[in-house]
Amino acid sequence: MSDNSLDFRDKAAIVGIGETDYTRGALRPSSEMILESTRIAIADAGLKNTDIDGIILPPVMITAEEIAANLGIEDLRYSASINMGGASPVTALQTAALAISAGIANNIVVTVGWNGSSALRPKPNAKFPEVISIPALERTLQNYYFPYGSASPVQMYAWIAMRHMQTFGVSHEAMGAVALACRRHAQFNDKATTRGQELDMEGYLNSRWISEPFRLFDCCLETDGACTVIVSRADQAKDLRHKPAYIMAAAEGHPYPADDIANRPDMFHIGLSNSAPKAFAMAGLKPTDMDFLQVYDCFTYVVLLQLEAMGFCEQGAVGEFVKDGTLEIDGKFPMNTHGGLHSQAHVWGLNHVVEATRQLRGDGGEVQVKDAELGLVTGWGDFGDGSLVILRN
Amino acid sequence: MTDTQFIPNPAPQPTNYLDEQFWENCANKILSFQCCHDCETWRHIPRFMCANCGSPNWGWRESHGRGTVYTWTVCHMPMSPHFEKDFPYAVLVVDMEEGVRITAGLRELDYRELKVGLPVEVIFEPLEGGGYLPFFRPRKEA
Ligand SMILES: [Zn+2]
Repeated sequence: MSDNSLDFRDKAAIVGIGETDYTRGALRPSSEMILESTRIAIADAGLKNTDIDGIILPPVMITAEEIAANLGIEDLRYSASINMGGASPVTALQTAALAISAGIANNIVVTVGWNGSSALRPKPNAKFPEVISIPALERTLQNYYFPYGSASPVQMYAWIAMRHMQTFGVSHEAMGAVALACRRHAQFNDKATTRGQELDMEGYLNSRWISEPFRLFDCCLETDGACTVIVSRADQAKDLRHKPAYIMAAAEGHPYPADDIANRPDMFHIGLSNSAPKAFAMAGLKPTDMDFLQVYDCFTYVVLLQLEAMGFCEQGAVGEFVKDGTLEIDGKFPMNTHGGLHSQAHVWGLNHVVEATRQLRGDGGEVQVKDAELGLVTGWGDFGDGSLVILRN
Repeated sequence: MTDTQFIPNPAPQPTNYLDEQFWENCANKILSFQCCHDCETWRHIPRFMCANCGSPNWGWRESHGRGTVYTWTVCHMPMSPHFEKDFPYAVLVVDMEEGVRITAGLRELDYRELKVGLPVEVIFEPLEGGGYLPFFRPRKEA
């Protein structure tokens, strides 16, 4: 960070977490699920609904105004919407910490919810169709990608993954290592929709192609559900119900150009390549200081790209880095200890923030990382925007 | 069930005159990119300003239509009914000689033979509702 930057290190903390059940076919509106997870998170923090004075949302299925009206917040002091796709929730933590350190708000709701399984893509029984607004990308999609049948993130991120594989010779087994770590951890998580469905390397490699180099088990789940975290002033956080998870550092980053994957001079320079050095510098830490990682895992290869961008290994060496269980609970850097988007649920990665908070409280259950004091959470969204938050207890 | 923006359609949907002119040129079987009047830098996708020098002055220039494969994906699960008859199909990112990259479909080659650096050239295929789409095939001559 430059010397004159506003330093919000340790000024805010995550004090409350809330999740709905994660299902396929919720048959209720996203807004209702968002409010349910928000009620749970506020109660978990030991706050009252009317203590909330800030709301930060990605561009999803409810407005800050509607949340405030439901909670009875008469003086909403701060609201913002983040348009970075799946990177929005982690970026929202940066925005929350900024608003709190500037004295604008004291207790901020960061929330996400959707019917990502039952309503997003056309399904015959969809009761509440939902459309996500992605203004930064629509022009590129409609003019230059859709005409060739490239319509889904799995197809577009495949361009980056294929180029990386061809350049560095990364194996399918390296992708499988990500899938297996997530699936193994999900077996211990009571919200995980793949609990009871174990996966081994043979099963991974035998799964059908979706968009090469991605197979079915390279892809995350589609989920109906919501989750919420409460971010509060650090000086008040220690008096609340749980041990706070302090926001040591956070940063957002965008690839260039952000709105077209094809024309990036360096396709492997992702948003996180810009944000990670800033966040680690603010925290005064390095990647290897982390006790656990919660990495946005919409597709396995996206995890590999992010591990390299954060500096866990040299570019091209990630296949070596992830082998032999590095990312598993008994490995060097346990990752996605709840199962991730891959095997717990797809709630835009805010479920990764919930899990990180749980680990720092010591509430990780059978997948508690021993003596966990430091952890990171990444976000990835749109065409490779990337955000990073570093948390401590 | 209502449409969402996730249903792809082969027909481009211009949202400004830059996209409209790009596709009009394609409709005349001309692959063109913008070139900056001030610093001669080519660009794609179309934009109002030159990212290299900041100039708003530009014109369309015809591409030689030649490039090499930069990367690709092979889609085995079409995301819309429009593409069901074609799958599995490859979508390429092509490194053009002019220094820009373009996304396009593959023709006249089994996708299993794709490799980075493969020389390709543009061909045009008619769209159902009028106009032409650029595709790429292996280059016939050096
Ligand atoms: Zn210029």
